[in-house]
Amino acid sequence: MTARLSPSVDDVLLRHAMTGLDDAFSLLVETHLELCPAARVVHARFEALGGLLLEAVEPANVEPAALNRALAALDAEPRPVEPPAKAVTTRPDMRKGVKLPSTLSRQEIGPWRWIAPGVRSARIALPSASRAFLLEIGPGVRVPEHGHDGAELTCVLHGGFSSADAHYGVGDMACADASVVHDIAIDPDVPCLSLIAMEGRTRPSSMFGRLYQKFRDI
Amino acid sequence: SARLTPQAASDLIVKMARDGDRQAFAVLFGFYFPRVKAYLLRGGAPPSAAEEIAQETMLRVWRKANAFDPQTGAASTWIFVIARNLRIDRVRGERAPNELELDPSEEPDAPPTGEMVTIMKQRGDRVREALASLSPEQAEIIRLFYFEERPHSDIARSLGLPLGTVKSRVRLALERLRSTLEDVR
Ligand SMILES: [Zn+2]
Ligand SMILES: [Zn+2]
Repeated sequence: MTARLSPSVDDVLLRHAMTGLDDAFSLLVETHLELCPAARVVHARFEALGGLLLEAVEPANVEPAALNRALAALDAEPRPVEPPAKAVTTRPDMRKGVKLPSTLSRQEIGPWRWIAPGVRSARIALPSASRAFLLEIGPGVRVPEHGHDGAELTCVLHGGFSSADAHYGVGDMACADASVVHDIAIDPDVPCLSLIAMEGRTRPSSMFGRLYQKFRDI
Repeated sequence: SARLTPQAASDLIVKMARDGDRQAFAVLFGFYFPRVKAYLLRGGAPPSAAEEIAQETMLRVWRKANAFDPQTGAASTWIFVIARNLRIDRVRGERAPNELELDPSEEPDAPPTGEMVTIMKQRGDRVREALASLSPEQAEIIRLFYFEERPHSDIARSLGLPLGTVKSRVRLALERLRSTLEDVR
């Protein structure tokens, strides 16, 4: 997700449906889809749109031998399936009552790291340049106005927060990029656990550094 | 290769699943292989990779034909999702071999509920209507930006438009598409 339109939920869903996204963003969108039935419907329609555009695309030139090659391959054994992913070994403790969505159950997640009072995060191991991590912020915390280095998507897993005039609850996806400056108010009753995906050139530590700076400034 | 109605495509896949019908495969191949290859080429795949991924797409269509449910979706959607997933796997390279088998076409992430099935049944035609309701310019820009994943600057050059115009057209076309699809909710 680089040098593109300021992302909106629809923009992100359509890109995921049409061509797919880098691992961290893909993980985030799939988590959103798992938690949000309305997004699943929209996404399914965007995939149907992909099918229609596929029907309508001007066909590429094809060698006459292509069909015979395919026919000859029909009876061949499919390539051996990779062994199933090894059991996930690392997993930070979750608060009581917090259950991670199944999209995250396949992921290796590092230990909680303390960021600031009431704020901790855990990295998700991904091979991509884009990064994903869990971020938990205590109840009632206000994250002061801040900017972003690049595209940044947030999906709420537990609790909720308000930003600008919107409230984000479990399953909601928030989109920000370099053009977005906002502040965030965590719901007063429970800590807010979110999954966050951000572009690779943004080191999470830099964001944490800023966050920490802001907290110290309060 | 010229025409294949959605119903005919769907019937071909059902025949492949039921009877192992190679003639059905050949007809489906004739229509979809050149189009899947075109989707991949337009998305920037080198010709040899496009050829390979398109072949693999059609082989998966054959092997997984019994996972296709004509009640819940169009053949075009199903084939598109297989091709897209193979494309993503390729883009990601060999970094995450375990993910190669996470193929949503065979394993939906959640079993469709009764209401999902009802919604999906109406979906095909409504999406077609939504696409048809866009102006030719809007449909073109959705196709270039999202389906072919071409950057704004590239589109601006080939359409001879200022960058800002392209960006706002993308935004407007998406809003229009979304609001038309919204009616289906
Ligand atoms: Zn909400
Ligand atoms: Zn922010």
